[in-house]
Amino acid sequence: MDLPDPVALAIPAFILLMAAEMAWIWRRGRTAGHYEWRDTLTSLLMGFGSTIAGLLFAGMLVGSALFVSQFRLVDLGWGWWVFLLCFLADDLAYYAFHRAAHRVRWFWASHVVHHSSQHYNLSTALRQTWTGTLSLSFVFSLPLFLVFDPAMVFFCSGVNLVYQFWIHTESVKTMPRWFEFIFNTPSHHRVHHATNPRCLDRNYAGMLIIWDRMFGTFEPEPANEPLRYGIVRNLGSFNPLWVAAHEWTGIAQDVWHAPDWRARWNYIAQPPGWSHDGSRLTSEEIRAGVAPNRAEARADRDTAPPLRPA
Amino acid sequence: MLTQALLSVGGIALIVTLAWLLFGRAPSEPPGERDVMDAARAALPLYRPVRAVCGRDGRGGLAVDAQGRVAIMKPHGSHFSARLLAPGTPVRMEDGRLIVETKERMFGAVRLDLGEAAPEWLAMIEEAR
Ligand SMILES: [Zn+2]
Ligand SMILES: [Zn+2]
Repeated sequence: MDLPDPVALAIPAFILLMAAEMAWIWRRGRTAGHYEWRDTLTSLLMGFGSTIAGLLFAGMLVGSALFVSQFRLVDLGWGWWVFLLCFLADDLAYYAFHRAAHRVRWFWASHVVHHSSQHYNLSTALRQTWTGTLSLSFVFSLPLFLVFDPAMVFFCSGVNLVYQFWIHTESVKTMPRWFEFIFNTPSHHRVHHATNPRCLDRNYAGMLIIWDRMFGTFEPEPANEPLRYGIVRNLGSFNPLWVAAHEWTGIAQDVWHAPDWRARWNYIAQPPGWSHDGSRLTSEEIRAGVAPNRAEARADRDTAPPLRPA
Repeated sequence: MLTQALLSVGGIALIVTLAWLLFGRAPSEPPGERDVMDAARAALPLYRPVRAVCGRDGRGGLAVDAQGRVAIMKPHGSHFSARLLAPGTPVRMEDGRLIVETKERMFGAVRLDLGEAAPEWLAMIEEAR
């Protein structure tokens, strides 16, 4: 079956919706902070670059998908319920990918790009990585090709990506309660992009928030605590190349300077913020609010700023 | 494919221009000491600033905690980007500005217009452990 590419179809809608969001924010008199043209330019260039990178490395993805689908277990056909099942399975695979993307530094090095803006608006949604396929982030979807037709899987993950566009906004406060219970919404995803300690590594959902509720990673939006967006150690740079490569550079430096092979492996496979001498903080430690005296002790023996987690 | 690429490039130009037109001007109220203090507390986990100073032009600032650790806020668009200064961070005065060279190449040097407060903060950075 020939299915359209949902992302390509959605581009005009993305442009219109960003213009509408800007007009809305401007009309409400909030002239500062919400859109910053250099930040938006970087986000859109990252999005444009990611489509080019996607084309360049499409062979890796499609080749792996076709390879796995040789071993297809069933032929479920193209009924509506098969699509529904495929959406569910793809969304679960997205949850698994996204959780790994925050908990394994190798995958984080790609995914951090999406979190690198200190703003939260529709243009942030398009701030996408250039190294996703190259870093094999698609392995989480490979089991799907044992059950569903590759075209159906690609279609569903495209729809999932398009869905996630509209949730990157501060202009929608909350949706009806039943909707907030089932679906990922602006409110849930604002928490995901926030660096307030309680928000770190929460709400990994793609389309459905039910996975976070099921697997214990759900955090509701705090009522009276302003959210701060970005990463714990913000880049202070709008340079797209640096946005794309900074964490890979960080890994390379750490691996180079690591004292032994065990530490080398851990700098790649442990959560962001792991360090062989405990001189940095992981998001778990920040969430737990590590005792201040420990942090001081660390600052004393550290030559670099001690705080360098995700 | 070419149409799609052209549409994307045109869209980027349109959106960025619109963002610049609507939000490009400097905010009516430039940031002050309070904002530097809040930014330092928010950006650096477990860091509790006791004093702060903001550049006279509202661009960037410094904070210090009870242990004498100095944090720098670099202006980044309409936000600050913060770093705790490592001991021995090179710092100097140039044309009445305080120049702080962070050790990160891509974070770079930060120029602060602190006016009369500059010498005191220069000393604090030099003494910071
Ligand atoms: Zn994420
Ligand atoms: Zn997002």
